[in-house]
Amino acid sequence: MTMIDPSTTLILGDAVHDYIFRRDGLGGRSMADGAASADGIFMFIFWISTAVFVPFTVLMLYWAFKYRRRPGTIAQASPSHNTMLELAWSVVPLGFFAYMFFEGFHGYMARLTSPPDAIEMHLTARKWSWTLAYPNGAETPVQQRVGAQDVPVFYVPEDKPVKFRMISQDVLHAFWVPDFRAKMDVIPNRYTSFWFKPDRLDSASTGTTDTGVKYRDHFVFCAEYCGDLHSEMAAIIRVVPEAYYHETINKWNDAVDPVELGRRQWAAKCASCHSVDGSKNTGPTWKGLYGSSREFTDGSSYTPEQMANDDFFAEYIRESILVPAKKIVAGYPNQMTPWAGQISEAQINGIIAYIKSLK
Amino acid sequence: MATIDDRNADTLGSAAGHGHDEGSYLTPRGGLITTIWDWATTVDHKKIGVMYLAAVLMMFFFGGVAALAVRTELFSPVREVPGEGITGQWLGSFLGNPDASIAENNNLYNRAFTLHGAIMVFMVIIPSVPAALGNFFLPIMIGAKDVAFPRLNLLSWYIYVTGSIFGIMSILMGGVDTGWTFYTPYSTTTDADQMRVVYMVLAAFILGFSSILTGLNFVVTTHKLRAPGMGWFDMPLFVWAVYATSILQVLATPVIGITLLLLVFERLFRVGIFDPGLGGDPVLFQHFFWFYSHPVVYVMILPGMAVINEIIPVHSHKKIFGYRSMAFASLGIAAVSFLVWGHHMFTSTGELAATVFSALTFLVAVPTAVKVFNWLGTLYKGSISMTPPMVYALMFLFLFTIGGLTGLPLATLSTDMHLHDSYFVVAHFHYVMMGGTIIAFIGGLHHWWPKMFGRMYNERAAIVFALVQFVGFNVTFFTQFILGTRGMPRRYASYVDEFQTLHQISTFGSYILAIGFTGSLAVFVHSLLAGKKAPQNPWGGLTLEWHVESPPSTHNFHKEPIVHHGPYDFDTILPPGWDPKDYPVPNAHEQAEAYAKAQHSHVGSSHH
Repeated sequence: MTMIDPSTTLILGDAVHDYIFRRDGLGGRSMADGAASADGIFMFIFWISTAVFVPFTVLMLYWAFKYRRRPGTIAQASPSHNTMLELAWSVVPLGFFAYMFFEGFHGYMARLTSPPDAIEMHLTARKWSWTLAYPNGAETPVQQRVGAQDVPVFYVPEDKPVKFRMISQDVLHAFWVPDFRAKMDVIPNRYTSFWFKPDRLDSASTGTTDTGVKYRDHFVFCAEYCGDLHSEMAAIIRVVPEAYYHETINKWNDAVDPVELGRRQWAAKCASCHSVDGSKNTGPTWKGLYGSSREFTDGSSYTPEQMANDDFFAEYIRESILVPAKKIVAGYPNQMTPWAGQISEAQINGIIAYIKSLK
Repeated sequence: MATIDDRNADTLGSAAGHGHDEGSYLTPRGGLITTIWDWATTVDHKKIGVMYLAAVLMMFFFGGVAALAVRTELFSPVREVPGEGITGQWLGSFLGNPDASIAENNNLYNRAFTLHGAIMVFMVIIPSVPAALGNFFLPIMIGAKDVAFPRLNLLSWYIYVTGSIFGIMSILMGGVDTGWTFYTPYSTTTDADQMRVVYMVLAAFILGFSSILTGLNFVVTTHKLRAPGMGWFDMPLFVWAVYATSILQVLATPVIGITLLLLVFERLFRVGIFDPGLGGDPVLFQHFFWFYSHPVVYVMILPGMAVINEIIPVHSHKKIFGYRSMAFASLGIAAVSFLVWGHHMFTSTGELAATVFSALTFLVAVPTAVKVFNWLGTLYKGSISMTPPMVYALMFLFLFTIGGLTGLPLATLSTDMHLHDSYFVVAHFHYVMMGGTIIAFIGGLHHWWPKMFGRMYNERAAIVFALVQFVGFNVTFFTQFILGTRGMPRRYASYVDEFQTLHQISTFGSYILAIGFTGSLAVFVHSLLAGKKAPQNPWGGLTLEWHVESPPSTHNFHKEPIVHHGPYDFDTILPPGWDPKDYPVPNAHEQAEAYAKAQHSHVGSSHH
């Protein structure tokens, strides 16, 4: 695909590369198909730039010293232009630029065009979380603490091409996996896609499951500014052995009781704004919500008795999920994304059951 | 040949007493009230330039404070520490809300970086060199008494102030969290019940008109008011670059005006243009926005180059290398800059069109490289005075070259997929906008300060603070390149732990930078209060501003100048006001005598 083979760079080159791209636990290595060639182009530009910049700076300082002004003299005679020289320093850079452009173009096209056998998964973004639906319809129930936020963990098989078809429910987001050296915007009115083939696990792993299965985690960051919790809008891509991947997503797809289903919905879609331990966040906590009074920004309120009435409570929760702006709890901003058309009745029932369980 | 008076009779406006020799433009005409009224209603391009300078420096201070707030918040990430709960939230406590949630604290951070970006771009960098230094020096450098439309010039300043007031009103109402780029649909939906986003957008809209009118004024001035004897290729390169900038301002700014107005319509009247919730297209906004804002990147950097074009030959006492290629490079950059806006959208939808924009972006790099090599060539065999302006010019060459070279992996499609919207981009544009334009602006201020205010400053202190800025700048921003390649996204109030060390180094750098700028301010204040009187030509320049007094008289020239030599003929012309012993060009003594005679008899500032 590319004329640059990163493995042929010098040892010093490797050390510099690893410093520039260093990540905890992974060194500086990129971890997906095609990413190494992007690193190769980057390092090519880096060394060319260094080869221009260092002599440039040395000459500048040397001449500034050597030709320092001595009173009673004027500048020595020297040409004020030189057509050949000026042509040379216009055309030679143009040659290098053309090479950079073609290398970058090849790499870009290769990384936009997904192979036909890629596993297609569906990624949905919203303020401020990611949800991934696997080919069998399951969603990730696993979360991990990053900073002060629980973020979802997405399981993908090693060494297999995976394609995310992506859409946003509200504003612009961007899906960036630094270890894969790629990102793509996630836009509200059209699908964009992001494909990758993660390197094999034997090249590096960052952890082991309880059952002794090796895996490797990669951070996902939202790279397009999207508001208050933009910097908390992370996720983790967990590269696992293929058999373990199939086993896991099949297990997630099994029928579960409504409370567990609701908990998984919370983990995947709600946790960035609604706590379940009583702490304050962008939205009200779910702990103790069942049977507690509510006051709204429009001045109206619900009594504890109303909120403990199962039908009334279910109606209120359903409305708050589908059309959140109708009733905003006093003291909280009108921030939540409407879920109408984005969530099934079974999932809503699960959430209602889960909230009731949070005494 | 026309005299000064009848050439400009229709544009002199209300400037009373013209035709008399009334001292410097700074000489008060009466008491305090009279003087204030005199300045507030002046049509003198020099006073307007000084008023822009004051306004720009004040906004630079506010933008800088916001930057320090941003860097301080980033000193530690928001994280949960066992036993201590959530730590790393500084802004909330600082602004009196120690119990702020993560979302509330981040929101303050988002307002701070938006404030920093919007102020620095719209109110500082865009007007810095053209409106402040350009207003003061462009007419003098081409031998004119004023710009072509002096009243329009004053109006531009009032429009700038009006725009800034709208911006400040928005900040007082709580500020906005849209980012200076106002990307939709975030910008059309955030704080939906508040007017402050509308005010901030209107501020940018109004400031745009100030740019357009100033640009128009400079284009006409350059075309129509050049002194006799000054052909296009006799113009100082400062004028060439400001001229190229002005063309960009006139052509590109209306596009952002329309775009911002559409955004306001969408917010206020829910007309669907950009918001997909209303049937619009958010990517359309990005095209509209960058169709203006990319040319504006060159509106910001070309004037910086303009200043360096003057500083390097004057302080090297040597003809600039490749004059014509410099002039054409300015125009070339201006022309190609209209065709590269798409490189801000390589990762928006991943379309084939991106390749065209990538190729065109590399094309912009060529004239830029030509300029850098020409500046270096000018140093060769020069006679270089290491004055504060020259120190700033060398800093510019170092920083701007890094800024330019780090643009290459951003123009390359496959590497931009990783670096886009990362700290690498943040570092890159700070090296260009701040290491380039702001450093050039401060260097230009040191170069022309004696001419503007008639006072010298402490040169040694000025150099020390320049070096402090240089160190602080690199500590702040070089670390950010590495943060970017390692995966740090921009506009983050928090980050994962492994980025903390580099963030802390960067924050320390920003404090060093703040010390450097405060020092420069002190040098200038000291100069105003206790500086030695400046000679007419402290550095030995040949362009027309060095032929007039420091500070210049109200009408700049006592008689219309006639241009007999090129702006950089340092090998044959004795700098006006210099002792032939110090500068032994052929016929130095004859030139000095002829010049003294001309000054004495008010024949004009020409000599032969």
